Amino acid sequence: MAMDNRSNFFKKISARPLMRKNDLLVIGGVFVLSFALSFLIPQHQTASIVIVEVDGREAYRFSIQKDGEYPIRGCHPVGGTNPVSHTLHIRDGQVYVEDAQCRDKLCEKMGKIDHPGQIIVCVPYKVLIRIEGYQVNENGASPDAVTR
Amino acid sequence: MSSSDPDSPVTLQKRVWFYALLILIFAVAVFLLLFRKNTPPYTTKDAIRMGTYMRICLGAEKNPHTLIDAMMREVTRVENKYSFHNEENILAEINRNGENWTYVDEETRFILERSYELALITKGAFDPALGRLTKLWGFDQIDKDDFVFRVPTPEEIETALKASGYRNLEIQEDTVRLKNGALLDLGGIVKGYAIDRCVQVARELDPDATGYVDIGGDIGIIGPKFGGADWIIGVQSPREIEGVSLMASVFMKTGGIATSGDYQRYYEIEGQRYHHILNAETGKPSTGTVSATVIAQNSMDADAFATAGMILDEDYVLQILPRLGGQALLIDPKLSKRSTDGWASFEKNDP
Repeated sequence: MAMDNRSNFFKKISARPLMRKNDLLVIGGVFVLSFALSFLIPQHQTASIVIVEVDGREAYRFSIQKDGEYPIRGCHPVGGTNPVSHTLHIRDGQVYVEDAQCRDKLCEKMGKIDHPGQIIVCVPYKVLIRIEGYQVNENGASPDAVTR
Repeated sequence: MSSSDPDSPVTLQKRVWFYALLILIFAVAVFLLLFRKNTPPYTTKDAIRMGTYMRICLGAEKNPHTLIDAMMREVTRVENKYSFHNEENILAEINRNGENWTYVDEETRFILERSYELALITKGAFDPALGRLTKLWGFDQIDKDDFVFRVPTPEEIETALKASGYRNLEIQEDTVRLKNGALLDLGGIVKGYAIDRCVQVARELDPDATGYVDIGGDIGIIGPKFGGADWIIGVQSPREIEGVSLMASVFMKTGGIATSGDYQRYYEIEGQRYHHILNAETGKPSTGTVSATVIAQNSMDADAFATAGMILDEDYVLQILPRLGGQALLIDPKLSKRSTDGWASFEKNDP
């Protein structure tokens, strides 16, 4: 008896044109949901790797998410042993160097970098620190390059 | 009430879920393709060259890495050929030969001729023959840890000045020579030239290439961003101020921009700063303007004009540079800005 009532109920509903509107609502809802979901699907991380190049070759690689202090051995200008030339700091998604052994410490003055496109360079020790990722910004808010 | 009945609730439900799933997959695929950019339109290469950092940002349809390799090789070639530190290149040979004529190729002749011209039109503010002064002050040793800097005596400066100046450079058909012991130092122009060559190489290999080349803050545009938009270039503030790193922003689709400043390479003794832009008249680091940024048609000119902009009197610079094809932004020790009439148009984004 109950089954008959339910099947009668459904039959009545499916006969109404209102069911088509509901169909559209479902489809619309699915679009919105899938749009939202496409943002949740993890993209391959673009801004999480800090790469340190010494003399043109990659020498160290760190995750920007792992806070820490790391000794960097740059290319010693006079030759001989390779003492630690810089200490690389990663903290709260920012990267910077301290205890630089170079004379002018321009690398320290370059400050903290935190997104792809920015670099820190120590020329005497041939150290280049960059963040992996795409560089060209499309929102026009920050510069593409800086003249100095 | 079987499930083969198309109007039965079970089939309807199945159909709804089936189509919903299909649409979901389709929509996700569409959104992933349209809205997520997986391949960057620009390839970037960072390196250390010419005693500073270098960045190539290149947009090219095919083989951007091949182009970048070619551009890097060109920069290395120019650096080796005209570096003041290299004792085996043509520059060293010309310097060693002194008053004896040295044979030079077309490229060297072009650079020296243009340098001479630029020295003339900037009244010697840009000067390619200040090698004696560079050596005296030790700016050629600035990257060496063990070099001990000291301020030269007035007598030493006087002696070096007598052996300096572009007027000592004589250029003939295919030979050049230097009089009075003057030495060539192309440091004020070689970065600009290297950038121009780099841009040329890119365009030769791919006429549709876009992007820019940045060597130590001198920037040359290969082509407009995404084919038609401006590159946004910030002008570094010459002093460290909390929260301020840029003094201005310009929008460029073509040409070159260069900055000379007293904050880039310098020695400091007892709180006094001695920077590397030397005034050819006094033989000492320039005073007054702390940063000069110049936009010109090519980076070689921009480089030379920026150097001149540091040395010449502010009013004179603002008056003469536009006539020479440059637009300038000058910053004084109080961080006040003054610019040529045409500079402002670069600070506006083209609609």
